[in-house]
Amino acid sequence: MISSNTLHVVATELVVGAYALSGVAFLLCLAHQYLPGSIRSSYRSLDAVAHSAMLFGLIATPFAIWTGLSSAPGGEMSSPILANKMLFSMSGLGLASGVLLARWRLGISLWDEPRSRLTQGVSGLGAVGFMLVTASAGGTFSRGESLLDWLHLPYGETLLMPTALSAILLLVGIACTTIGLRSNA
Amino acid sequence: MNQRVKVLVLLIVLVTSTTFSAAEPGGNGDGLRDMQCGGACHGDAGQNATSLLTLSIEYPEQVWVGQPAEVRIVVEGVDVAHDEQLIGLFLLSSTNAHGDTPLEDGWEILSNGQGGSGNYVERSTDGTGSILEHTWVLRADAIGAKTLYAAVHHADASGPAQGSPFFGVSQGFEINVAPVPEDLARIHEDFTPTTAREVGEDLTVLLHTKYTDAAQVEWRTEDGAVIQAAVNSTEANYWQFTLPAAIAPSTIEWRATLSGEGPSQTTPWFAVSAQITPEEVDALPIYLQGLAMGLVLFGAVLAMQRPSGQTDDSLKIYDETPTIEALQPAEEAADSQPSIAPLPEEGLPPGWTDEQWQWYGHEYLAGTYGDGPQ
Repeated sequence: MISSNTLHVVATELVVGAYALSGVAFLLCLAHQYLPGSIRSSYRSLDAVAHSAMLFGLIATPFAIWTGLSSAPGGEMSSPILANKMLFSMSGLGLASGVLLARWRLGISLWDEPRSRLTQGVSGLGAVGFMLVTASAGGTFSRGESLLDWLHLPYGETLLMPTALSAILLLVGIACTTIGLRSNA
Repeated sequence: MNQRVKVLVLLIVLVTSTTFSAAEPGGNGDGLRDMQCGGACHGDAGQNATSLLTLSIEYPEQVWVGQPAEVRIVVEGVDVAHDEQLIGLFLLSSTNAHGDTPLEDGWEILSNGQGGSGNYVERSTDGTGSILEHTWVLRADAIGAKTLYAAVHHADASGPAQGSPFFGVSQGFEINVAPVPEDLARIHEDFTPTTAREVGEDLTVLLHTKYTDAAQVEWRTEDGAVIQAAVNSTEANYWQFTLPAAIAPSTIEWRATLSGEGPSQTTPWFAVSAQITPEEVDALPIYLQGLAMGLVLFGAVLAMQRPSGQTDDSLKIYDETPTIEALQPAEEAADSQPSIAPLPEEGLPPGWTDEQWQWYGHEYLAGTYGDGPQ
């Protein structure tokens, strides 16, 4: 029988590895105009790596969240670090989903326009950043240390909004999604 | 240099610049753990080096079945051969690496000395000197010889072995668990001491004893000051006393001296840790906020990355050029064409092409281009 802890380690390593690869590829895509010609000409490959790695990480993320909740000692939200992990991972999940759907709808031509290129690149890097911070919070919770300790992020404090404000934010999110999805109708 | 060679060199540099250690200087927290954790907690047991620390176990001369007994691990050579900073201490009943906690050999762990009841604790080496001691309170369930082992794992924070994981295990220490003298004043077998409490709260202890006519209780703080507690007898063999509230997370210890018609007995020191338990949080608002944040970011990306709408079909709809051209008068269309100069009787000038004449014929006839008409 494999414990939830072990499954969580496996799932998080898949997620972090995939997102880290995706992050490097997004960075190169975003800056490909300023790179040497050999890399600049291969941005189609970088685009494929960035989005397929992000898709893989996105598929593995729910498993990481689920096993993380199962393995949390003392309950699902017994620590502010666990609450922050939930908020960061859900934000990363939403951002990554938007990035992938945008890429599917616009195709590779989104890298041709400066505005869409900037939006796609920054959103992709943002999703990667959220996931890496989530992993860092997990390391701080389970081992008391992480690679991002030098940033001194306040994992012990959770910015928790009132439920009503969360509901309003949810409605704003639904409105944004509706506008985004109906734009080419 | 070839591009592929550059990439290969870069990969080799990245791989070789990593260390082969996986120690966790932040520790893993106290708990109930097998010796296997001495390797697995460092990532790969095969990477462990042998610790140079000297380990031994101290225990009372008389250990009676069903009675608490202090078992102390003594670690010598701290901060001498290694710069440990944090040491993980195991109390084990065998070295099988699995199923080897004292619980597997009939021991009950009443206290780990740090507010818990596991066989594994982590201790900082700051200010301990070269000798580190840690005490557990165990209770045996059967008469006979039992063997205990001490084990440690730690890292090295400096020197040539910096970051490497180390593991060490002691020899076996055999403890003979004897039957309890019939009329020994003692703690009842059903008494389990409290090991943790909240900061700011008193702790009232109801001590259940056997063959006891009188009980005295004393407690001490971390700085070693010993204070007598007021003990009340609620009924025969039940003694009640109160430990004062702690104002900050800390540990105090108490012990009782029991006397009766038979031999008297002083119990081990029982540790009680004061801690701050995190507040219970309703998970629903956190889930809702997480969902809302995710949906807002998802929608924001979609809204910003909308297709422009200039598809081929739409261009066809709004491109009225053919219609406009059809409405233009033929003359206007003819006027819009550049006029071509009439050819001389002798035909094209020598060496000229039709295209040249189309563009420069007028200038030739005017004598401003080429040789001009003769």
